[in-house]
Amino acid sequence: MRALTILIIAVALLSGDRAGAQSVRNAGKYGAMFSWWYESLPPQTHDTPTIEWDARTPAWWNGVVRQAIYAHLGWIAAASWGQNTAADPAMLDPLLRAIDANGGGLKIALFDDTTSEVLRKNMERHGTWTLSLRFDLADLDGRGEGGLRYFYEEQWKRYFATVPDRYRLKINDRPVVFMWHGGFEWYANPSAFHSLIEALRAATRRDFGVDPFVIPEESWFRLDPSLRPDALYDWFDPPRTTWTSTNFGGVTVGHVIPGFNCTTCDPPSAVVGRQNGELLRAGLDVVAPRADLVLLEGLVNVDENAEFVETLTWGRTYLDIVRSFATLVP
Amino acid sequence: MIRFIRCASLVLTISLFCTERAAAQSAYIQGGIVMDARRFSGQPDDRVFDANVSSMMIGGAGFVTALISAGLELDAGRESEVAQTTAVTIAGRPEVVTTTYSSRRRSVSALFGIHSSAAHAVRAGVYAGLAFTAFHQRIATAAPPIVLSAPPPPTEFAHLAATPIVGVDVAVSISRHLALVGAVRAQSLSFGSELSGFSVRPGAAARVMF
Repeated sequence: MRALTILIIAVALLSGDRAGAQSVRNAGKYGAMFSWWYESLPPQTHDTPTIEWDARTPAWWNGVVRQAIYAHLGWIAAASWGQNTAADPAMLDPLLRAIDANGGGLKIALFDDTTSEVLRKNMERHGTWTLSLRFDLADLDGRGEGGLRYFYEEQWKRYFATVPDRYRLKINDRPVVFMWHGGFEWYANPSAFHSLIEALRAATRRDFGVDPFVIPEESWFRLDPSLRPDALYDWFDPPRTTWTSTNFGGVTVGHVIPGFNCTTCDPPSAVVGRQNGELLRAGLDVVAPRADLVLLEGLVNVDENAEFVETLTWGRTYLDIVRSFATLVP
Repeated sequence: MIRFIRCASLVLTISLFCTERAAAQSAYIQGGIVMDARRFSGQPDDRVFDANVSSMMIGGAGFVTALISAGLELDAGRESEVAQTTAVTIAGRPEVVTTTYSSRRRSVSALFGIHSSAAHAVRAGVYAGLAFTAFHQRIATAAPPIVLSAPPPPTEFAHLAATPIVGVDVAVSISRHLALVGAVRAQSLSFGSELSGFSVRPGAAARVMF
């Protein structure tokens, strides 16, 4: 009988959980892009959400958070445009209240929509909301066409000051910050991007005592090979790529869209058909199993018809697809 | 959880060696085959980890009184496999993505039982305890190169959980030391906040009594 007991214990010990070898998150791995500048449904939106589309009302925030939780999302990435815009991260307080009112479990990551720094700089310096005047990434002091403050004081600092620690998505106890595309056409001295990131890390450590887990879009790494990010992701490029998987630093970030239709964008973009949810399902089939994070575009992106909230057209089809993967491929 | 298993094993080992000698039976070991009927919550299309697979079971218990036993059971189910396909059009061409979900459950259960009298040839028992379950999942995706240029190796997950387990069995003696047993065990399965369900395991075993 003693031998049997020893055998049983040995089997139990051999059944070790491999999770310890992975990066440690404080939320589920599925998350979605989130924007909150809406006062009504944009005219280009094809499918009408079941939530009344007005982010000035608590009902909108509660409805969106409830649907995120229904889909078993662990986090949402707040697509931030910075100070004096309709997507100022300092305006995220209603999201915190909605999270509290719906169980308190949903986490938030900062998504620094990096073209916003170019636009804000040009608005302030030249009085025009344009990308055509490049942002000088080597000019951290802001003496010329750059400035750390556009990224930090007007963006990151406002996010960290607004979103308390317990709401933040963290990897290895470090709050996650995504950064959108780099490009020669928008930035001068892109090889100085790593200096900008180090300055942002230092400022965040100084003011908030945390070291951000920075996940830039992979284009930044091509522009600045000296960059040492914590992970990378690859933004979709319709119709060439509608899902991507990027492994860097031992962290794999998947990115998947449910569909995309932005013919009213400037310039107009290629249309990616939803195929009744099969596009999202195929993308998740391909990227989800290996991913440590899955960034979905987008929970509420009605501007580009890339949303997956409940609508009168498809009901909860897309929420159910995400929920299914979050359950089966955690 | 491993510390808990060690403590439970220690208590049960002591109980096995401190059995009531005056009773007709002081201990038994048994082994057999069970059918692991596993069901998880979810939409019908999502039940890729549901299974009906055979499983081997071995166990043993000692009687701490004439009617009450304490013991351990180990059962290791076979791997189940479900393939799902997604048809998607890419660059104007229809393509198929196939995802294969494999899973396997193994449990070590600490069980306390209440038995009918050993004086009869047919002896029933009811059990309750805690099952320490290892649930292994393997997910593999295959698709044409246009969809998946470099197919990744299968992804494996291992969950450990301690959940309640209950059971009943009926042992029919065919000699002084040997009985045939019909048994059912039922346990909940809960892995994190997302995946939950249950496992019901009817089976048959041979029991050697001491």
